[in-house]
Amino acid sequence: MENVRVLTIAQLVQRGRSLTATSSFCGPSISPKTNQTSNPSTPIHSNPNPNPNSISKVLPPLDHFAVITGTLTLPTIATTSASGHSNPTHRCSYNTCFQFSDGSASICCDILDFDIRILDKKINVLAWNFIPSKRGGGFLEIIRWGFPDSISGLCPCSNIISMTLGSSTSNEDSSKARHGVFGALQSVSPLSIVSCKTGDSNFKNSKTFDSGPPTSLRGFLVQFVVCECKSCSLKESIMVLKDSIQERDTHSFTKPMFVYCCGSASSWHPVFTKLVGNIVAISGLKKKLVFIGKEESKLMCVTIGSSALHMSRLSKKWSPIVTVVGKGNGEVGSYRGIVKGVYMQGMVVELDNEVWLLSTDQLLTPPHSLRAGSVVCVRNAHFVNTRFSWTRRMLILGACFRTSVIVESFSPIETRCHTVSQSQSSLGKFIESLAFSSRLWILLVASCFRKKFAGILSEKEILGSKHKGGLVEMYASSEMPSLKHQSRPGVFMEFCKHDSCVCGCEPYMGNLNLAIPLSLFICHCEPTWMTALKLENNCRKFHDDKQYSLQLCEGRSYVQSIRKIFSSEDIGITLIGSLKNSPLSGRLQLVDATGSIDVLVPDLPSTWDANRILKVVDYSLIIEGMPGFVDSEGLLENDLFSCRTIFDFIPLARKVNLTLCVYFHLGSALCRNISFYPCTGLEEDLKRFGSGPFHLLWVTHKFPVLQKFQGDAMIASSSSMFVEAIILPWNLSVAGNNGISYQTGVVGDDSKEFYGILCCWKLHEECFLQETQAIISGVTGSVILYCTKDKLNSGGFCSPSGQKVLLEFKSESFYKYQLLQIGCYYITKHDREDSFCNLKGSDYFSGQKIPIPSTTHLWSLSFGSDGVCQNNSSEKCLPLDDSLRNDEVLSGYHNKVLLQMSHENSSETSSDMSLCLSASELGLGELKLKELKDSLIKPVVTPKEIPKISSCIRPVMTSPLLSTESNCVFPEGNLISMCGHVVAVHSVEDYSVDSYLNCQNLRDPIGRRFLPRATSSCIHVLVDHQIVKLSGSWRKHDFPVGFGPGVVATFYRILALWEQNRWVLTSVSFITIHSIRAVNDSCGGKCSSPAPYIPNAVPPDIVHSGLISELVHCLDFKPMLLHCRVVAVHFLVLEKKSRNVNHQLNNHLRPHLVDIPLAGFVLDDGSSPCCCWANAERAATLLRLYEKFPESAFGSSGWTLKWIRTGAWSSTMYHLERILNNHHRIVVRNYGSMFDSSYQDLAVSVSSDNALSSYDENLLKFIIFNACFSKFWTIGASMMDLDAVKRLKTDNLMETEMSMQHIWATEVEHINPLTQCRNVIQELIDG
Amino acid sequence: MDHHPLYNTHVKLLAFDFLSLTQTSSSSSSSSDPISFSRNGLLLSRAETCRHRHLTSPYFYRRSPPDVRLIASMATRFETEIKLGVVARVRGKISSYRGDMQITVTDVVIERDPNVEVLHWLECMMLARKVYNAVTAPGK
Repeated sequence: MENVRVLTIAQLVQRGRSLTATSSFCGPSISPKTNQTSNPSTPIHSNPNPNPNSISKVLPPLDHFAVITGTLTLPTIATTSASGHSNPTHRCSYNTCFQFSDGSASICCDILDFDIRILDKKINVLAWNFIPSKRGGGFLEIIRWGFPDSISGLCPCSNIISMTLGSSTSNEDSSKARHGVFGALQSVSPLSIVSCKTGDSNFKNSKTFDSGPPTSLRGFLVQFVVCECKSCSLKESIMVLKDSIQERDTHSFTKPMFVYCCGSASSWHPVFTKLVGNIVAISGLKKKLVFIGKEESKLMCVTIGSSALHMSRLSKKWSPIVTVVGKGNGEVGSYRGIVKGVYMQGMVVELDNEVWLLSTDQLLTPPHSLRAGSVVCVRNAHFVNTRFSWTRRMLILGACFRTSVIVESFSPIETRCHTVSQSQSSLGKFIESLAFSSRLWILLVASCFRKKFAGILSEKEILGSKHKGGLVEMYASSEMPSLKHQSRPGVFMEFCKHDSCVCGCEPYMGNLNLAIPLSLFICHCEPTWMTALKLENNCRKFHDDKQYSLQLCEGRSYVQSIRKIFSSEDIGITLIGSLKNSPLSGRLQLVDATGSIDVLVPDLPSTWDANRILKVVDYSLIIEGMPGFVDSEGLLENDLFSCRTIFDFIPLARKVNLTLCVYFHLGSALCRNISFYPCTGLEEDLKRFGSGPFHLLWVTHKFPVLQKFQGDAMIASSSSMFVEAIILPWNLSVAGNNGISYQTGVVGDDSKEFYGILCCWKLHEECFLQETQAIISGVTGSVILYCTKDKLNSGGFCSPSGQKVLLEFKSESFYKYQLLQIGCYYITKHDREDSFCNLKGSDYFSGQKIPIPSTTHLWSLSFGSDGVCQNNSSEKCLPLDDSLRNDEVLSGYHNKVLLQMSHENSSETSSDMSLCLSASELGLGELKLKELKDSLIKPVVTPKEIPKISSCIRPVMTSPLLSTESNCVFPEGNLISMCGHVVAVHSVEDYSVDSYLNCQNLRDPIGRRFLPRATSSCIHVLVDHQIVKLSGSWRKHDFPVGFGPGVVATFYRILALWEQNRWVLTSVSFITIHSIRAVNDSCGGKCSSPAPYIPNAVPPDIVHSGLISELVHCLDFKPMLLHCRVVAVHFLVLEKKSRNVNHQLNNHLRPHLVDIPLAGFVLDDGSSPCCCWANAERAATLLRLYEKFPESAFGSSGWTLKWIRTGAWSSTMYHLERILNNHHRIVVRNYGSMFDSSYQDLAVSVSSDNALSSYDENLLKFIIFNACFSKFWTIGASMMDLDAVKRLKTDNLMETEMSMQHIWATEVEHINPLTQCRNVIQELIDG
Repeated sequence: MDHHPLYNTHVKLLAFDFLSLTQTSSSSSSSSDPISFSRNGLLLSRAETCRHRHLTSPYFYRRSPPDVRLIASMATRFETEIKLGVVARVRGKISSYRGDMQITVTDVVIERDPNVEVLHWLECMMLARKVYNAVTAPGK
């Protein structure tokens, strides 16, 4: 042992590094108790998700054997600890830790295998861990120790160890201390301080009052269970107790009994904590009446200075009746496990896997050695099974005042010690008043908020101060309005009357929403989307081309992105953040410190402030992505919303290949989306609005975000966004709140001035601190709307009659750009310096730029007759100024709303202000406005006129392909607007000659000239039951947030190329989304089966007929009309449709249950054969399923028809339905000739177990043969590219004839021979 | 496949086109006309060309019996349907039978619309102009 080095505490503290002195000599088995643990595997490996606060690094071992020699002492009371000690003490604030000092320094320590005899004795610490603490000092974990050779223990002959609890210097009268307690130590309360001078203290004792000056008394309660046998209840001296110890086996401990250890005995708290579960005796106690509540007192034993603790050396553990934790409704029990993580300064400890130890009470002092990796035993904890809506079920171990946490094996991992902050805070008090599951929830919220608002709000604002609640408390109380602060009865009361206290009852927590950091939310989107996709794929293997990837447009297949919409109820997550414009993309985003997500807010109030924090409860999450581009590996297993993930918060570095968008409303009073921090009232908005003259604007167009914007921060910072508006030649004069209108009484020329009442609709405000959620709205004021055209000299309104201007928005006022909507009226306050007045130039000069700084406010204004105003505001309308509300104004208000905004849902006024005018005045204004519009605005095609246009663009068979003769550089056409339902959106890659030609002819030339693009987009819009294809060099990022299949949108200023039947999105086009709908909600649900898919609707872009042989030479993938016959069936899939889906969708047909996901036909028109692919209705038509079944032919062969036919059921479809009823899916392949109908070799396979009967098989084959013996068809089809063919081939595991052309049928009709004759004659003559 | 794409096509021919078809090779079972067509899709105004010999054709015997019966029943149907004066569309294989050209019918469709006949003529002309002659012109 000569190489044994003796280390001092001071050396360790000075070094300040974690250290272990175990592995050098005793191996990994550091304590015999380790073997008892249920989890023998080392925590390092069993931790699947390493968290940052427990980096799986083993404590660095000392390379040599070193011992520390020192003394283990009880914690000394703070006031006396500093006296006389020269060595530095590094003590924690708990005052409940063992101290270890070696002369050089003194630090907190914990010890395994505690033996009461080592107190105040010099020991050699043989195996230990040293963990430095942040504030200097450290913590010693004593694993193995021994007495120095000189001391060989205490009284080896005696079985009984006796220790005096107090200091013997106490002058208390020990003669009355005749009482003793002998029993099993069940629980120990936390150390608490009772103020003795106040009357309402917990502890009132006459003796204490008398003994000296009023002071605070430190102490803790110990609960014993004692035996009620005669010997125990009669005998009272120490000797009897000692006897009892020796014959303890005869006792049964059932009766609870409390001992108050106060005064000098209070430093024994760590010892009693260690002794929980042991059988001990205390002698020399006094019986006293202790007030445990304000009114309640309890007779219990109280220690005095001479009280002594006795226990057997061979003390066995007393095992109480184990409560079986079944339901997890708050039952008390014990738990042993490995610590996986310690969070929130030790308030939350994860044990094993998703078992959460909560010790939120500020009096509780979890031991320092409770580090990640240690084995702990939790006694007397409440078992609570919790289920939050966002995560799976978990177990909470709620610590109450009876709970003790004992570390049974120290952690070999280098992890920090945690110290619970003992300062009282408002949030802490709030948490303490709640049930355990709510406590965990609040801690999660606090953890999330700290991450979400790091750098945005101060820690104090988030967590609150001592008396003022912060953001967390505001949010929590808003989520749990029913749970108010419940004052806790106090330590003594809760300890003594444990069962009757609140700990037990656990409310339902399912409705508590979590507000996680946005980056975590974004990570969650991927598995959510994948799960939904998987679910759908399980239900349905084959897809319609609308749902599946095969999106065909002009003969090419495009991978159609899949869009899924989830509601907030399904997700169970609340979004919190502030609405900001992305400086990069210019898009509106919900932002927190961790991330941002694009949002779509249709009713953004114009009083919106980007600094306000918003709570979005009701929303829809739109996730769109390509099925192949997201790899789901390992994503689905990992629960992203588990408490561990949230506490740890490791933002995933991976890029999410999905387009995300959150759609929510802000203005509606019904939804729970509100701005909740900071609290500002309506007054501020009103103040800002104020009174005085206002300019009236009418927004005519918004220009899209400049495309060069993307990704270039430098450009972005200097970029602007533009809105085209007309300054109307009317100004609005608003009377002040004092009711004095300076125009009152001036009855002007009836064509120049209008009087009205202004109502503010949307100044809702909700605030939680005030605990009022009332919606304040409907403040009214009187206004005068007067014409400025002839009043140039009055009031400084110098703007001439309506001027077209461009409003310029710099990056700091981008959000104001978002607020403006095309076709809406806005008012802005007149200011002498503002640029609305200082417009130079003559009348009708357009294009003047007006910069809109962020200080300029624009309020949206709607006009209405007074009746509407009254209806909407009802009793909320509080007129501030009655001076103008005379009978004249109020009379005759039953006309409809005149100047309707372009909102789809005009039932609800979504403007900030509503100007109510009398009907006659409105009529007059309408005339004026019409004049103005005629003079200023070029006539545009309104959505209502679109049907007329699209009826003009019906296919003209003989029209030439593309007039290449027109040598104009710019395409010519009108700028129009149209509204429609977006069916599909896909990008077009320019890799072929065809696309190049397309580009030459069709793309936006301006955009192309300035910004040559590699990709462009094609949008299929359903307008009045017809598909209109919009193309343009827009990329994915150019489209507004949320745009995609399923939206109803208005396309403003698109170029209609008349001669080419083309619609082009230009760089000035703007898209407004009205509504978003899920395209495919459930399995196989074709929610939208728009009209173009009914058999007789002809797609508008089929322009010419041709021969199959010409397809080869036709590179442009244009649709073509072919006149041909079916020669053979190549491949056929038949599926059974569910009845309910079908019923809604095929109203035009008799409902049938046959679905044809895919069918391949061989066609022949005399020039060449080709392979034609079709599905659904087209395939059914080609199979002649709607035609009468030729049963005479089939029946004549000798087979009897087994079914009863009525007239309605005689179509071929009926027979197929019957077959499919038993077999959900039938696949037919042709292994025979592809060119001779009679030589087909058809192989039928079914998905179900029962094979197809030979009768049915023959019938099916007959149906197919029958299809091949058909008349001529006119088939609208387009070429398929190789990718599409390959995809068909691989998806359906078949060999395709690659020698043939593959086409995709979009339309099938019977030929009209007469018309066709005429066409052919014409062609022959022309040719 | 070393055949021309038209090899597998039901070529639409008029009656005089048939008469102009000649056999080039006697060894192959399927004959070839000078413009190398081997299959014809044609419209006949009379029913004489239809036969019911399919059942005995050795070609059918190589196939599974139920299919043969099925097709045979259809052939019977064709036979019953094709009556004198009915316009029918017949597709079949051009073959030779003892030196004479014959058409082995694969399917027959009865047309009710008289315009179909005219349309067939017009299509024959158009196809001849656009496809058949265009293909063979360089060859000759």
